[in-house]
Amino acid sequence: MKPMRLELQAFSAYATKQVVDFRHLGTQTLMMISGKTGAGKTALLDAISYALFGESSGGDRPESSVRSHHAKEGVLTYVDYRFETQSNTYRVVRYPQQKKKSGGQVELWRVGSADDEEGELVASGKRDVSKEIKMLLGYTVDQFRSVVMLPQGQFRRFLSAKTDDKAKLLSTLFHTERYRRLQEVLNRRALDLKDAQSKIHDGIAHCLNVARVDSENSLIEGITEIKKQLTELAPALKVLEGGVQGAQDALRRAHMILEQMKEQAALRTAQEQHRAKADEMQAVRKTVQAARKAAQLQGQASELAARRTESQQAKLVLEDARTKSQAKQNMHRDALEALEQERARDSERTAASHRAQKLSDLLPLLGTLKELETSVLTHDDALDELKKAQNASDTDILGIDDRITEVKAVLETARESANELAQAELSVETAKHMLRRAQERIHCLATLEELDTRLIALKEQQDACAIQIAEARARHAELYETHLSCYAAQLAIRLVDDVPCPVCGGLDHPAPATSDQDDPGKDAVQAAVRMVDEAIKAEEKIVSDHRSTKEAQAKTAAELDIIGEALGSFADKTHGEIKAHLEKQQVRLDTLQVASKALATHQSALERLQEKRQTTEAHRRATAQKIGQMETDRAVLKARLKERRNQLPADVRSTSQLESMIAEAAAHHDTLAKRYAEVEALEKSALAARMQAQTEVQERTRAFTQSQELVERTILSFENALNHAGFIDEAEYASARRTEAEVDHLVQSITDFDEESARMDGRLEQLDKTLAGIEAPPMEALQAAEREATEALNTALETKTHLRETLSPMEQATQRIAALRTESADREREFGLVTTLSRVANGEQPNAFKLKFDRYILAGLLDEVLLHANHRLHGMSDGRYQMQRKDPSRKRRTEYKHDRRSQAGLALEVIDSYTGKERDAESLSGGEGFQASLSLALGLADVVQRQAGGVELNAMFIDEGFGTQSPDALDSVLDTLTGLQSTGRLIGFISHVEELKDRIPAQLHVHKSSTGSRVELRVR
Amino acid sequence: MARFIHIADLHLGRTLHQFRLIEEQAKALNEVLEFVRSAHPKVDALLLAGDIYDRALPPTEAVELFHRFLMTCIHELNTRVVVIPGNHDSAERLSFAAGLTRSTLHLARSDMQTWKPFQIHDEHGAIDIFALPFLDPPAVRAMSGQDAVRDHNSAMGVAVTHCLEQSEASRKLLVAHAFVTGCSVTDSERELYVGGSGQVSAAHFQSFDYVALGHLHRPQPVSQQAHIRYAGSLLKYSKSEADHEKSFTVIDMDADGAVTLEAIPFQTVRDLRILRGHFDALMTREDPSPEDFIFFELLDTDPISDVMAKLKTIYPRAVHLTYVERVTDTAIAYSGLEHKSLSVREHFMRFFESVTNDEMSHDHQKMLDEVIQELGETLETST
Repeated sequence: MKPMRLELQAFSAYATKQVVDFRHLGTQTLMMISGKTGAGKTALLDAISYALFGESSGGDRPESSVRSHHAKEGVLTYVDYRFETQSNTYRVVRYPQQKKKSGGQVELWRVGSADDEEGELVASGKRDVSKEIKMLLGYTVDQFRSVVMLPQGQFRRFLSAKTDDKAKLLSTLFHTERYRRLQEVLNRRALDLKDAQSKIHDGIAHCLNVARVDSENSLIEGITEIKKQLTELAPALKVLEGGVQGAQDALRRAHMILEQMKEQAALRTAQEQHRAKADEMQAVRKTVQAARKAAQLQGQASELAARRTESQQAKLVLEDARTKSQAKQNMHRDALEALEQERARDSERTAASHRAQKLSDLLPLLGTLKELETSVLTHDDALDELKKAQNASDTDILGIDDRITEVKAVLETARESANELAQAELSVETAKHMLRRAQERIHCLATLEELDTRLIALKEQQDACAIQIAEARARHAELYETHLSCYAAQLAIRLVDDVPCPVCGGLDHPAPATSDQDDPGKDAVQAAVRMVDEAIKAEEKIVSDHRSTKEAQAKTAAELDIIGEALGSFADKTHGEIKAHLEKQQVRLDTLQVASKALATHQSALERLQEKRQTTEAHRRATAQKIGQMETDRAVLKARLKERRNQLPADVRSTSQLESMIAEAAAHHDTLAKRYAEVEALEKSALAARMQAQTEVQERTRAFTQSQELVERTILSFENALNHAGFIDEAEYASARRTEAEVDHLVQSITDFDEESARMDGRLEQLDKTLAGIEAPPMEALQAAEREATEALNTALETKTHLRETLSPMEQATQRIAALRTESADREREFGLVTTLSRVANGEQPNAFKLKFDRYILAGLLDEVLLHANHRLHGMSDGRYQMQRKDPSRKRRTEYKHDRRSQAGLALEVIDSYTGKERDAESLSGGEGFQASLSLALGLADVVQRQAGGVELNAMFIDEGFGTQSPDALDSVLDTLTGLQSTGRLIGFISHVEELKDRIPAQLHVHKSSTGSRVELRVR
Repeated sequence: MARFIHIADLHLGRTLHQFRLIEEQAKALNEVLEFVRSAHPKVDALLLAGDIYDRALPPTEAVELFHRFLMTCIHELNTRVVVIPGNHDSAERLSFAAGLTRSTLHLARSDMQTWKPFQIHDEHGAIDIFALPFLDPPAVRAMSGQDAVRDHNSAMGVAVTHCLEQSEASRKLLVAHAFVTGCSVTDSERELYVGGSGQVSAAHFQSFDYVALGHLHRPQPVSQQAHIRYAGSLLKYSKSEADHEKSFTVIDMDADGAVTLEAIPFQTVRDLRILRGHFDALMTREDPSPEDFIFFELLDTDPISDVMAKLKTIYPRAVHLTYVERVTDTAIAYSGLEHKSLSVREHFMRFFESVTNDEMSHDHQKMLDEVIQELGETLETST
């Protein structure tokens, strides 16, 4: 499970929506979650755990408490977590049950990428999602807490888990189900084989039961006896079968003779009946002859019928033509009447024509009227325009007057400004001058202060010099005195009585000078003199300096006075105040300059305005003149319009009305004329139709007469032919006619009759010859003999069948029993093998170690995990600790016993190389326990990743624990975690340890505030 | 002529496994103070090139020790001190009150605006001393506004350029804490950040007359350029430093900025050594200074009970021990146990043979194969 993106809202410490995109980590795999206590660091881990399993990371916070206390009402609590497995990307969204809302909701989606909102819904609802997640990740929430998310204060879960819990975890992570299944299959097989054996036993008993014997021996005896009886029965059966055959043959022959005799008698009766039909057949022969003659007259009869049909049709056509001719006569009469009526309406047509002409004459007058009206309207519009223009001009003039007043006022102000300008320039110059003076004053004051300081220093130096001089003088005096006394003593040594003393000249030397001091020497005394001189010189220099400084002070004070006078009224103002004054004056001057520059501009503006006013007034006057002219023209037009209107009839008001009246009159005239023409044409065509119909009637009458004559000629010719053929009249001819099929049928019936007569005669002759001299056979005796022979045979066959039926199940039973016996032997052997394997797998004899197979496998896995875990722990503890499985029966403790898996307990202990002894893993201190647990979790992940199975352990989250580490150990632990970079496994941890912040480039920082926390992922 | 002393990587408050080193650290610092006291010519300034404390939150005794050291230097010996925070220090905590005592104590701060020269004068004029704290590249990027700052190397480039722009004197000296390319490392220098070495190029330092470096614990010049130098740590702080000779460096700079160097080794502190051998031999040998800090490498293959306690009866500062011959036991090299390399059949065969002390017969194997086949079938149908 590689985390891709976590989104949460109103969850725990977070009031608003927070998004952590783990992809921003890039190549960083170590991530520190930092923030103040209570900020919501653990809540981030809780969110992942909650999304996946519906529980918090430590399992100690109920689902009802996940909602943030800071969250605003109406903001939904949810967690949306996206992660990647080895094969796919998934998104799980979980909403807890929320106040006034429907129950909690959870959905698991398979998505194309971590940014997709939707994909394929894999499961929804708590139970289904839990099931899917367990399948996807390969572990349960408890196991998740043992190896993926080490909760605060619970990181030892796996280290100190009970053997059963460890077994469960290892079994889940490593899919060791199959090993337990192997045991189960072995056990089941042993049971199955046992069952099979007892079933075989039951099977044999069932076979004997079916064969109705007590034992297998009596079964074999019975089979032998029956087989013997069957052998004896065979020859007797053959004899009986021969007897039956003979009797059946005799009976069959007798039956044949009897049948022939019956046929002979029947034939004789049939022959007599056949002969009785001979007269009937003679009449048929005559009918055939008459039909053949009639067939020869067929052509002439057909022609007669055709002529008669033609004559009939000609009659029908004639009658039709007569009816049509009558109708045409009637139509012509009607048309003549209508024409007479229309001729009577001549005066009406003339009146309509006159009215149309009269109305047309009024049209030009109306045109003139329309022109006049348009002209009046045009004048009205033009007048309106002109009046509007006049009003606009008035408004313009008023506006220009206002503007002129304004400009005049501005002009006045500008003039005033120009007058003030000179005075302002003077003020600025004065202020600038004063500012320079103030600057000089500051300079002077600073000089004075410096001079004061220097004077004080010089005074101090002078005092020091004085002391030096005094000291030098004293030193010189002392040295000189000592030198003198030493010199005296030296001289005294050389004193001899009676030789005059070089000092006092006395010859007597009562008290010669002595000295207990060393002579400092002449040079030292001279040096002291030089020092005194130097000190005095130094003092003189200082005094001279002091004097010159004083002079400088006086000069500066005088300068200050001059500046004071120059400043005059500004004397009591500071430099800053003067500067401010100057700036103010400068601003005023600038303003005035701008104003006076604007003077000329305003002047020209005023002139332009006055000019514009004159132009506008001229324009207004012109407009007023135009209005007068226009009104006069309009009055003339109106008078003319009135005059023209009076010339029109009262009911004519407009051209369109007049035009429609003209159209109406013309239309009336046209209607009348058109109708007359139509009626006239109608009469003409009716007359033509009448004449044509009469001609047709005459033609049809001629045709009918001709066809009548032809019919009569044909009848005469047909009657001659009938007489010649022997028919008395046409009726006899008609009754003799037969179709060809009827004739063929009659001929066939004559042939059939003749053939049947011949057949009967032949057969009767043959039978008479065969049966000559033969008596009827004794049927009953023959039948009785056959029945007897058959019964004897049947009895013998029944005996045989009975023997076979008894034998068959007995033989089947023996075969089945033999097969069962073989199978039983095989099962027995398998049972032995399986039982041994099963017992060994279950830790029973011959398994001398009482070790179960699945436990053996788990112990092996745990050893492998420990191998990897120890590699990590070795690094973290500088080689001090090593973990191993506790072995209750251990003799040599220094080696793993790879065989037998050391009785396969799964409890762990630690070897401390400082003491060389094992310790219970429980007894490790907080820091050591953390290292051991972390190593174990990493070891588990190492080994799981080597296995192919879909267990997702490529991320790990550690909630605290670093605080328990000593400084040295912390570095070692971090080195180990840093070394995991290459595995690509994401390690996220929560810690308060300050210095980790600088060392871990990837920081998931939680900012705490009173309105809820905020999370930020920073990667350096 | 001007004279400087360069020390670095004090790591005050550091412990060596369970042993506190504060006493040894006090002794070493005293040797520096004694040198200053008696030096002729006088020492003008002491340069402390980072990692003053071992941790961002140092123990009080470490703070007190440093306080006494500074007081003696400045008030009693009238010697100026330049201090920069290293990667182990918290720059903010260390530079507390910086600026209050500018003329005597110069504390480098994180803020780029404060990276101005600290001047020392001798008869030839001024010397500019620049003190750079341990650089945090993102912070330097933010302060300088230069997006090109991506790592420690580019950060150092920007920082040095900034310093040189501020320089007034012709002689220049730099105090810095960094991992300069081409130097030898130990187990004590923690990676500057996880996943990167943070190395910087020596080329940045060519404009300085002397560069006083901190971070690496072995005293050494950088790329054979004597004037760019690591002073090395105050004490041996890990087993990998057992062969070091720890010292402080005295620098004399002449009118042209040319330097003469002398490394003065520390004398009075206890040594840190590695002793390798069999337990019995180690217990019976005559050791010249059993009071030293000692890492033991035992050649014994079987563990010895209470070995640490026993060693401590003779070597009271036995720091740590490893069984060097047994280390390979824990290496991942061993693959015979690898679960996945064996099939179910092979696992069961091994199991059978080891718990019955007997080989599995041919018939039993055949039966096992059958069962495993069935197992395969049931596994398939169950999934």
